[in-house]
Amino acid sequence: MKKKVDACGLSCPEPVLRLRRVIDGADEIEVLVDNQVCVENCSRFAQSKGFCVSVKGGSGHYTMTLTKAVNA
Amino acid sequence: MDTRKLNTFTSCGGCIAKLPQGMLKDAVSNIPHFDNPNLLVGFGTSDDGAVYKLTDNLAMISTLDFFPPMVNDPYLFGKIAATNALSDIYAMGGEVVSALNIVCFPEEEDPAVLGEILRGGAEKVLEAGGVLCGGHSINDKEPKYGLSVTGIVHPDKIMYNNRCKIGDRILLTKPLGVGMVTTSYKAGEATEESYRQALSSMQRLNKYAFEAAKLYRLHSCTDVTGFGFLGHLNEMVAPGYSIHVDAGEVPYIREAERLAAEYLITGGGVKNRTFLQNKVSFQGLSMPMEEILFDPQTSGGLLLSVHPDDAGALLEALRGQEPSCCMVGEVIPREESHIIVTA
Repeated sequence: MKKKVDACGLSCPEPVLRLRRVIDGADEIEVLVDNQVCVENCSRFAQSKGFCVSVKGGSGHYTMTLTKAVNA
Repeated sequence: MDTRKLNTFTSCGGCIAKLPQGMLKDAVSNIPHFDNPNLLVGFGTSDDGAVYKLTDNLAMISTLDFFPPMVNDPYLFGKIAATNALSDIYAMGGEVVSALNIVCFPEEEDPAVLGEILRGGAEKVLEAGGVLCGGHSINDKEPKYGLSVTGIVHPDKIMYNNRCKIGDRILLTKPLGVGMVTTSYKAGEATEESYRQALSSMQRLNKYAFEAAKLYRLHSCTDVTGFGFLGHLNEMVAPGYSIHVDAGEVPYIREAERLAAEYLITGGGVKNRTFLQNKVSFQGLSMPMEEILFDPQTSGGLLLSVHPDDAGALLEALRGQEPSCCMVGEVIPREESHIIVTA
Protein backbone atom coordinates (compact mmCIF):
# COMPACT_ATOMS: atom_id res chain seq x y z
CA MET A 1 0.00 0.00 0.00
CA LYS A 2 1.29 3.47 -0.89
CA LYS A 3 1.29 6.10 1.84
CA LYS A 4 2.27 9.74 2.09
CA VAL A 5 3.82 11.81 4.91
CA ASP A 6 4.13 15.58 4.67
CA ALA A 7 6.71 16.60 7.25
CA CYS A 8 7.54 20.03 5.83
CA GLY A 9 8.03 22.65 8.51
CA LEU A 10 8.84 20.03 11.13
CA SER A 11 12.19 19.52 12.80
CA CYS A 12 13.78 16.27 13.99
CA PRO A 13 12.71 14.02 15.52
CA GLU A 14 9.10 14.92 14.52
CA PRO A 15 9.37 13.73 10.86
CA VAL A 16 10.67 10.34 12.06
CA LEU A 17 7.73 10.09 14.47
CA ARG A 18 5.25 10.82 11.64
CA LEU A 19 6.96 8.24 9.47
CA ARG A 20 6.93 5.68 12.25
CA ARG A 21 3.15 5.95 12.50
CA VAL A 22 2.67 4.73 8.93
CA ILE A 23 5.69 2.56 8.23
CA ASP A 24 4.38 -0.78 9.51
CA GLY A 25 2.62 -2.64 6.71
CA ALA A 26 3.49 -0.07 4.04
CA ASP A 27 5.17 -1.06 0.76
CA GLU A 28 5.85 2.41 -0.54
CA ILE A 29 5.90 5.76 1.28
CA GLU A 30 6.38 9.22 -0.11
CA VAL A 31 7.87 11.62 2.45
CA LEU A 32 8.06 15.37 1.94
CA VAL A 33 10.59 17.23 4.07
CA ASP A 34 12.20 20.66 3.77
CA ASN A 35 15.75 20.16 5.00
CA GLN A 36 18.73 17.91 4.47
CA VAL A 37 18.98 16.95 8.15
CA CYS A 38 15.49 15.39 8.08
CA VAL A 39 16.32 13.63 4.81
CA GLU A 40 19.28 12.00 6.52
CA ASN A 41 17.42 11.08 9.68
CA CYS A 42 14.37 9.67 7.86
CA SER A 43 16.61 7.76 5.43
CA ARG A 44 18.49 6.02 8.21
CA PHE A 45 15.27 5.19 10.03
CA ALA A 46 13.63 3.81 6.87
CA GLN A 47 16.72 1.75 6.00
CA SER A 48 16.68 0.27 9.50
CA LYS A 49 13.10 -0.84 8.76
CA GLY A 50 14.14 -2.52 5.48
CA PHE A 51 13.23 0.21 3.00
CA CYS A 52 15.21 1.44 0.00
CA VAL A 53 15.40 5.22 -0.17
CA SER A 54 15.56 7.57 -3.14
CA VAL A 55 15.56 11.36 -2.79
CA LYS A 56 14.63 14.03 -5.33
CA GLY A 57 14.71 17.81 -5.05
CA GLY A 58 16.86 20.17 -3.01
CA SER A 59 17.06 23.56 -1.29
CA GLY A 60 13.97 23.41 0.87
CA HIS A 61 11.89 20.79 -1.02
CA TYR A 62 12.79 17.15 -0.85
CA THR A 63 10.65 14.24 -1.96
CA MET A 64 11.77 10.93 -0.52
CA THR A 65 10.47 7.69 -1.96
CA LEU A 66 10.75 4.73 0.41
CA THR A 67 10.25 1.30 -1.09
CA LYS A 68 10.07 -1.88 0.94
CA ALA A 69 13.00 -4.07 -0.07
CA VAL A 70 11.92 -7.48 -1.35
CA ASN A 71 13.44 -10.26 0.70
CA ALA A 72 15.26 -12.83 -1.39
CA MET B 1 14.64 38.18 4.50
CA ASP B 2 11.75 35.79 4.84
CA THR B 3 10.91 35.78 8.57
CA ARG B 4 8.75 32.68 8.35
CA LYS B 5 11.81 30.80 7.18
CA LEU B 6 13.91 32.26 9.99
CA ASN B 7 11.51 30.81 12.53
CA THR B 8 12.02 27.34 11.13
CA PHE B 9 15.71 27.64 12.00
CA THR B 10 15.01 27.92 15.70
CA SER B 11 12.13 25.52 16.14
CA CYS B 12 14.41 23.40 18.36
CA GLY B 13 15.02 24.68 21.85
CA GLY B 14 18.13 25.00 23.95
CA CYS B 15 21.59 24.53 22.56
CA ILE B 16 20.09 22.35 19.82
CA ALA B 17 19.26 25.66 18.13
CA LYS B 18 22.96 26.37 17.56
CA LEU B 19 24.09 26.93 13.98
CA PRO B 20 26.22 24.08 12.61
CA GLN B 21 29.92 24.25 13.41
CA GLY B 22 31.10 24.15 9.80
CA MET B 23 28.81 27.03 8.81
CA LEU B 24 30.15 29.20 11.65
CA LYS B 25 33.76 28.56 10.67
CA ASP B 26 33.00 29.74 7.12
CA ALA B 27 31.01 32.75 8.29
CA VAL B 28 33.77 34.17 10.51
CA SER B 29 36.56 33.41 8.05
CA ASN B 30 36.20 36.75 6.23
CA ILE B 31 35.78 39.18 9.10
CA PRO B 32 38.70 41.50 9.88
CA HIS B 33 41.42 40.06 12.09
CA PHE B 34 41.71 41.72 15.49
CA ASP B 35 45.34 41.78 16.49
CA ASN B 36 45.61 42.95 20.05
CA PRO B 37 48.28 41.65 22.42
CA ASN B 38 45.82 41.84 25.33
CA LEU B 39 43.33 39.53 23.65
CA LEU B 40 44.45 36.24 25.19
CA VAL B 41 41.59 34.11 23.86
CA GLY B 42 39.54 35.09 20.82
CA PHE B 43 37.95 33.48 17.76
CA GLY B 44 41.08 31.48 16.91
CA THR B 45 40.66 28.38 19.06
CA SER B 46 36.86 28.01 19.37
CA ASP B 47 37.23 28.41 23.12
CA ASP B 48 34.33 28.90 25.54
CA GLY B 49 34.69 32.63 26.15
CA ALA B 50 36.86 35.55 25.11
CA VAL B 51 39.60 36.61 27.52
CA TYR B 52 41.12 40.08 27.56
CA LYS B 53 44.07 40.98 29.77
CA LEU B 54 43.46 44.13 31.82
CA THR B 55 46.60 44.03 33.97
CA ASP B 56 49.36 41.47 34.54
CA ASN B 57 47.26 40.01 37.36
CA LEU B 58 43.76 40.33 35.97
CA ALA B 59 41.95 39.28 32.82
CA MET B 60 38.30 39.72 31.90
CA ILE B 61 36.23 36.86 30.46
CA SER B 62 33.33 37.81 28.18
CA THR B 63 30.72 35.35 27.03
CA LEU B 64 27.07 35.27 26.07
CA ASP B 65 24.57 32.56 25.39
CA PHE B 66 20.84 32.57 24.72
CA PHE B 67 18.32 30.24 23.10
CA PRO B 68 14.64 29.37 22.65
CA PRO B 69 12.91 27.33 25.39
CA MET B 70 13.40 23.58 25.59
CA VAL B 71 11.01 23.26 28.54
CA ASN B 72 7.49 24.60 29.09
CA ASP B 73 7.96 25.96 32.60
CA PRO B 74 9.24 29.56 32.23
CA TYR B 75 10.93 29.59 35.64
CA LEU B 76 12.88 26.42 34.84
CA PHE B 77 13.71 27.76 31.39
CA GLY B 78 15.18 30.88 33.01
CA LYS B 79 17.26 28.81 35.40
CA ILE B 80 18.56 26.49 32.67
CA ALA B 81 19.38 29.29 30.20
CA ALA B 82 21.28 31.19 32.91
CA THR B 83 23.11 28.08 34.14
CA ASN B 84 24.16 27.40 30.57
CA ALA B 85 25.39 30.97 29.97
CA LEU B 86 27.30 31.12 33.27
CA SER B 87 29.01 27.81 32.50
CA ASP B 88 31.44 29.35 29.99
CA ILE B 89 33.05 31.41 32.76
CA TYR B 90 33.84 28.23 34.71
CA ALA B 91 35.02 26.49 31.55
CA MET B 92 37.58 29.32 31.15
CA GLY B 93 38.76 28.91 34.73
CA GLY B 94 37.20 32.10 36.05
CA GLU B 95 34.64 33.42 38.46
CA VAL B 96 31.42 35.26 37.65
CA VAL B 97 31.35 39.02 38.26
CA SER B 98 28.28 40.41 36.52
CA ALA B 99 25.56 39.46 34.05
CA LEU B 100 23.10 41.19 31.71
CA ASN B 101 19.80 39.68 30.55
CA ILE B 102 19.23 38.97 26.85
CA VAL B 103 15.49 38.76 26.21
CA CYS B 104 13.35 38.10 23.14
CA PHE B 105 9.66 37.88 23.96
CA PRO B 106 6.32 38.38 22.16
CA GLU B 107 4.76 41.62 23.43
CA GLU B 108 1.23 40.14 23.22
CA GLU B 109 2.16 37.35 25.66
CA ASP B 110 1.50 37.35 29.40
CA PRO B 111 4.20 39.46 31.12
CA ALA B 112 4.01 37.10 34.11
CA VAL B 113 5.63 34.40 31.95
CA LEU B 114 8.54 36.71 31.22
CA GLY B 115 8.70 37.55 34.92
CA GLU B 116 9.14 33.86 35.74
CA ILE B 117 11.92 33.45 33.15
CA LEU B 118 13.78 36.44 34.58
CA ARG B 119 13.30 35.26 38.18
CA GLY B 120 14.79 31.86 37.36
CA GLY B 121 17.73 33.48 35.60
CA ALA B 122 18.41 35.99 38.38
CA GLU B 123 18.41 33.25 41.03
CA LYS B 124 21.17 31.44 39.17
CA VAL B 125 23.28 34.60 38.84
CA LEU B 126 22.89 35.05 42.59
CA GLU B 127 23.92 31.44 43.22
CA ALA B 128 26.96 31.99 40.97
CA GLY B 129 28.01 34.89 43.19
CA GLY B 130 27.55 37.48 40.45
CA VAL B 131 25.39 40.58 40.14
CA LEU B 132 22.66 40.97 37.55
CA CYS B 133 22.88 44.58 36.43
CA GLY B 134 20.66 45.13 33.38
CA GLY B 135 19.83 43.74 30.00
CA HIS B 136 18.14 44.27 26.66
CA SER B 137 14.78 43.05 25.36
CA ILE B 138 13.35 42.65 21.87
CA ASN B 139 9.80 41.92 20.72
CA ASP B 140 10.02 38.52 19.03
CA LYS B 141 7.39 35.90 18.18
CA GLU B 142 9.62 33.15 19.52
CA PRO B 143 10.83 33.69 23.11
CA LYS B 144 14.55 33.44 23.74
CA TYR B 145 16.51 34.07 26.88
CA GLY B 146 20.07 34.07 28.08
CA LEU B 147 22.82 36.13 29.64
CA SER B 148 25.84 38.12 28.67
CA VAL B 149 28.31 37.34 31.43
CA THR B 150 31.52 38.98 32.55
CA GLY B 151 34.00 37.06 34.65
CA ILE B 152 37.54 37.45 35.90
CA VAL B 153 40.55 35.18 35.96
CA HIS B 154 44.27 35.52 36.67
CA PRO B 155 46.00 35.46 33.25
CA ASP B 156 48.18 32.53 34.37
CA LYS B 157 45.12 30.49 35.42
CA ILE B 158 43.10 30.66 32.20
CA MET B 159 41.72 27.22 31.34
CA TYR B 160 42.33 26.95 27.60
CA ASN B 161 40.32 24.21 25.96
CA ASN B 162 43.25 22.69 24.05
CA ARG B 163 46.18 22.39 26.47
CA CYS B 164 45.80 18.73 27.37
CA LYS B 165 48.98 16.76 28.10
CA ILE B 166 49.62 13.23 26.90
CA GLY B 167 48.62 10.82 29.66
CA ASP B 168 45.92 13.13 31.07
CA ARG B 169 42.63 11.52 32.00
CA ILE B 170 39.41 13.08 30.70
CA LEU B 171 36.50 13.42 33.12
CA LEU B 172 32.92 14.25 32.15
CA THR B 173 30.80 15.67 34.97
CA LYS B 174 27.20 15.36 33.70
CA PRO B 175 25.27 12.62 31.88
CA LEU B 176 24.63 12.93 28.11
CA GLY B 177 21.33 12.46 26.30
CA VAL B 178 19.70 15.69 27.45
CA GLY B 179 18.98 16.83 23.87
CA MET B 180 17.24 13.62 22.87
CA VAL B 181 15.32 13.34 26.12
CA THR B 182 13.97 16.92 26.10
CA THR B 183 12.91 16.85 22.42
CA SER B 184 11.42 13.36 22.73
CA TYR B 185 9.58 14.34 25.90
CA LYS B 186 8.00 17.25 23.99
CA ALA B 187 6.75 14.67 21.47
CA GLY B 188 5.42 12.42 24.25
CA GLU B 189 8.11 9.78 23.67
CA ALA B 190 10.34 10.09 26.74
CA THR B 191 9.34 9.22 30.31
CA GLU B 192 8.74 11.70 33.10
CA GLU B 193 11.64 10.13 35.00
CA SER B 194 14.18 10.75 32.20
CA TYR B 195 12.87 14.26 31.73
CA ARG B 196 13.33 14.98 35.44
CA GLN B 197 16.90 13.72 35.25
CA ALA B 198 17.57 16.04 32.31
CA LEU B 199 15.99 19.02 34.11
CA SER B 200 17.99 18.41 37.24
CA SER B 201 21.24 18.12 35.30
CA MET B 202 20.64 21.27 33.20
CA GLN B 203 20.00 23.37 36.32
CA ARG B 204 23.23 22.46 38.11
CA LEU B 205 25.88 25.16 37.91
CA ASN B 206 29.28 23.96 36.76
CA LYS B 207 30.69 26.24 39.46
CA TYR B 208 30.94 23.47 42.06
CA ALA B 209 32.59 21.00 39.71
CA PHE B 210 35.14 23.58 38.63
CA GLU B 211 35.88 24.67 42.20
CA ALA B 212 36.65 21.04 43.05
CA ALA B 213 38.70 20.51 39.88
CA LYS B 214 40.92 23.58 40.24
CA LEU B 215 42.51 22.10 43.37
CA TYR B 216 44.12 19.42 41.16
CA ARG B 217 46.60 19.48 38.26
CA LEU B 218 43.97 20.47 35.73
CA HIS B 219 45.46 21.19 32.30
CA SER B 220 42.44 21.92 30.14
CA CYS B 221 38.71 22.35 30.47
CA THR B 222 35.63 23.03 28.39
CA ASP B 223 31.89 22.53 28.74
CA VAL B 224 29.58 20.32 26.69
CA THR B 225 26.79 22.19 24.92
CA GLY B 226 25.32 22.25 21.42
CA PHE B 227 28.13 20.52 19.56
CA GLY B 228 27.73 17.49 21.80
CA PHE B 229 30.31 15.44 23.71
CA LEU B 230 32.38 14.67 20.61
CA GLY B 231 32.13 18.20 19.19
CA HIS B 232 33.48 19.80 22.33
CA LEU B 233 36.02 17.03 22.92
CA ASN B 234 37.24 17.64 19.35
CA GLU B 235 37.89 21.28 20.28
CA MET B 236 40.19 20.02 23.05
CA VAL B 237 42.38 18.17 20.54
CA ALA B 238 45.59 19.93 19.43
CA PRO B 239 48.09 18.81 16.72
CA GLY B 240 50.33 16.97 19.21
CA TYR B 241 47.81 14.50 20.58
CA SER B 242 44.57 12.58 20.11
CA ILE B 243 41.99 11.56 22.70
CA HIS B 244 40.88 8.01 23.32
CA VAL B 245 37.34 7.57 24.67
CA ASP B 246 36.05 4.47 26.42
CA ALA B 247 32.36 4.64 25.46
CA GLY B 248 31.50 2.13 28.17
CA GLU B 249 32.45 4.72 30.80
CA VAL B 250 30.46 7.63 29.34
CA PRO B 251 27.52 8.58 31.58
CA TYR B 252 24.13 9.13 29.94
CA ILE B 253 20.46 9.18 30.82
CA ARG B 254 19.49 5.52 30.39
CA GLU B 255 16.44 6.06 28.22
CA ALA B 256 18.53 7.97 25.64
CA GLU B 257 19.77 4.61 24.39
CA ARG B 258 16.25 3.48 23.52
CA LEU B 259 15.35 6.87 21.99
CA ALA B 260 18.47 6.77 19.80
CA ALA B 261 17.70 3.19 18.71
CA GLU B 262 14.33 4.49 17.50
CA TYR B 263 16.03 7.34 15.62
CA LEU B 264 14.48 9.95 17.89
CA ILE B 265 17.58 12.07 17.51
CA THR B 266 17.71 15.81 17.07
CA GLY B 267 18.58 17.82 13.99
CA GLY B 268 21.52 19.20 15.95
CA GLY B 269 22.80 15.67 16.52
CA VAL B 270 22.69 14.96 12.78
CA LYS B 271 24.61 18.21 12.09
CA ASN B 272 27.21 17.29 14.70
CA ARG B 273 27.71 13.89 13.08
CA THR B 274 28.14 15.47 9.65
CA PHE B 275 30.76 17.92 10.93
CA LEU B 276 32.74 15.35 12.92
CA GLN B 277 32.60 12.17 10.88
CA ASN B 278 36.13 12.51 9.44
CA LYS B 279 37.64 13.41 12.80
CA VAL B 280 36.32 10.54 14.90
CA SER B 281 37.11 6.83 14.58
CA PHE B 282 34.50 4.50 16.08
CA GLN B 283 35.57 0.99 17.00
CA GLY B 284 32.73 -1.40 17.67
CA LEU B 285 30.14 1.06 18.98
CA SER B 286 26.40 0.42 18.75
CA MET B 287 24.40 2.92 16.70
CA PRO B 288 22.54 4.31 19.76
CA MET B 289 25.81 4.93 21.62
CA GLU B 290 27.26 6.84 18.66
CA GLU B 291 24.14 9.03 18.60
CA ILE B 292 24.42 9.72 22.34
CA LEU B 293 27.98 10.96 21.82
CA PHE B 294 26.75 13.34 19.07
CA ASP B 295 23.67 14.49 21.01
CA PRO B 296 23.61 18.28 21.55
CA GLN B 297 23.50 19.19 25.23
CA THR B 298 21.93 22.20 26.87
CA SER B 299 23.84 23.27 29.97
CA GLY B 300 25.97 20.13 29.83
CA GLY B 301 28.82 19.18 32.11
CA LEU B 302 32.50 20.01 32.11
CA LEU B 303 35.16 18.05 30.26
CA LEU B 304 38.25 18.11 32.46
CA SER B 305 41.73 17.07 31.34
CA VAL B 306 43.64 16.24 34.50
CA HIS B 307 47.04 14.76 35.41
CA PRO B 308 46.70 10.95 35.54
CA ASP B 309 47.90 10.79 39.17
CA ASP B 310 45.18 13.22 40.23
CA ALA B 311 42.31 11.78 38.22
CA GLY B 312 41.12 9.23 40.78
CA ALA B 313 41.10 11.74 43.64
CA LEU B 314 39.34 14.36 41.53
CA LEU B 315 36.72 11.85 40.45
CA GLU B 316 36.11 11.01 44.10
CA ALA B 317 35.83 14.70 45.00
CA LEU B 318 33.43 15.44 42.12
CA ARG B 319 31.04 12.57 42.84
CA GLY B 320 29.61 14.54 45.78
CA GLN B 321 28.48 17.36 43.45
CA GLU B 322 27.96 15.42 40.25
CA PRO B 323 27.01 11.80 40.98
CA SER B 324 27.19 10.83 37.27
CA CYS B 325 30.76 12.08 36.86
CA CYS B 326 33.00 9.50 35.15
CA MET B 327 36.51 9.10 33.81
CA VAL B 328 35.75 8.69 30.12
CA GLY B 329 39.05 8.93 28.27
CA GLU B 330 42.76 9.51 28.02
CA VAL B 331 45.02 11.85 26.07
CA ILE B 332 47.27 9.76 23.82
CA PRO B 333 50.08 10.41 21.33
CA ARG B 334 48.77 11.70 18.02
CA GLU B 335 46.96 9.22 15.79
CA GLU B 336 45.31 9.80 12.45
CA SER B 337 41.90 10.58 13.97
CA HIS B 338 41.40 13.38 16.47
CA ILE B 339 39.30 11.07 18.61
CA ILE B 340 39.24 7.28 18.87
CA VAL B 341 36.17 5.81 20.53
CA THR B 342 36.17 2.16 21.61
CA ALA B 343 33.19 0.24 22.90
